[in-house]
Amino acid sequence: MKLFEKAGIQGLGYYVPEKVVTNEDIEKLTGVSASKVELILAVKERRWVSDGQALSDLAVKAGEAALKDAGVSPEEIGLLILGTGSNDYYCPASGCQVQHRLGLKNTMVINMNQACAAPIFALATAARFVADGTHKKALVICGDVSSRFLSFEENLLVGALGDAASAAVIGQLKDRAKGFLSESFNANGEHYDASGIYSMGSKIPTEEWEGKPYGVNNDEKMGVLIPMIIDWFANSFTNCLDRAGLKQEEIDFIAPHPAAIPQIYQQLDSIDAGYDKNLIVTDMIGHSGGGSMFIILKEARERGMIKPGNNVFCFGNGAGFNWGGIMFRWCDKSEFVD
Amino acid sequence: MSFFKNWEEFWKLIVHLEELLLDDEEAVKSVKRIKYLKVGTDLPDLEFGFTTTIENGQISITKNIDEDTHVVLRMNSDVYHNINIGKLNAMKALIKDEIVFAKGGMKNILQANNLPTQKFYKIAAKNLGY
Repeated sequence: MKLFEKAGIQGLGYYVPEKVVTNEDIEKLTGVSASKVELILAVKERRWVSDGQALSDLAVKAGEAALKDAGVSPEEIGLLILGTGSNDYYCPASGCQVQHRLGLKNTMVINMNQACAAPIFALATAARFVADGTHKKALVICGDVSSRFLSFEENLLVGALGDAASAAVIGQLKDRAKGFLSESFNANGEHYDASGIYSMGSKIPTEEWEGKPYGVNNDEKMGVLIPMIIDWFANSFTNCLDRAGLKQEEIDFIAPHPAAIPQIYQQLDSIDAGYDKNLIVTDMIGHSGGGSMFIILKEARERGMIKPGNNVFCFGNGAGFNWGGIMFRWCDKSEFVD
Repeated sequence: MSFFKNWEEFWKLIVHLEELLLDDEEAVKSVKRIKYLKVGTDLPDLEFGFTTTIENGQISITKNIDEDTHVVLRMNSDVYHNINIGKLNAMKALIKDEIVFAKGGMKNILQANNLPTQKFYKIAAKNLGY
């Protein structure tokens, strides 16, 4: 038995801001017609934070929702992982602030910057700490407030992105119950400059910090990388199946990298998976970076698409570039150690 | 007035682009998981079009626009050229209706706009003195 099998997802929660941004709003901001925005991005609306709202506000609400869903009190959480590329400030990272506001005591806090791939890396990390008994319960919160880092003149990322945070409580399992089954991670830093926010950092002279404080894509590189994402997904899926000793038909729910909707279909096509094994939320809330994955899982569970005993595969990739897949068995609440 | 003298001149550039692309291991590998995608590019000012096909992970570019393309993008050759060499922001071209999605749905348009051809168009254009 692999060590991390002793941990599973005990509860899920999320928070999306109340402010709805329609394609007509995007037209006003960018000049691209609402019909073209929908045709190209397949997003009907997205949620953006209001003035004064920050990542920590979303993260706290998502964390509270996940704790409630899991039936776990803040005192039981020994580890908090916050995965985001949009902390409230450049420094410090927001993890400790979120820990304090959630009322977590004696908690180890890890701040993780894996861009959109954060949920997969955070789950794999938390699973180890929980399975080996270091902590009985962990709280993973991932999210992004991308709307603070947009240029309305640069590209249509503006219409693709939404703000959100989502969270998962990881708990230790009883007896021989299995949760996390397998994982597959990889990276290729050659393309670090393909997509990101390059306006501040130790590479950038201080006087240039206000240069381009928004997300930029290098279209030439992305033309090569976007098709490659499909390959990364398919390889991760195959690796996870092999490592879990499962066959594809035994996987009940598949969550590809949830950025652009066409990309979701192409990832599923690459492994001949039916679209009914996936749930798309991006069309109504936008792609919220690391924030999307646990929203998908929670909504899928609420709709009966994921039930205890089901096998689930999740994949994410993030600027850098790094990517990962994780396969797990959905556990019943009665299978968790109190 | 067209940026290119005629479609033959433009086609030479595309043929060179294809040679460069097929010679690049990473670019060839990048499309290997795409099962089937046909993108037509219609350049009315040259009265010319070409089709980029990816079938079972193999990419090829042929003259004329096939009937069974998933997507057809229509623009003048100067717009195509300027976007591909990075001189024109695609969003600005969209705002001015300089790019028309003559055919295709949301499942394919994003992919059609994100193919490894751009990188090699730029190199090919430079090699041929554009």
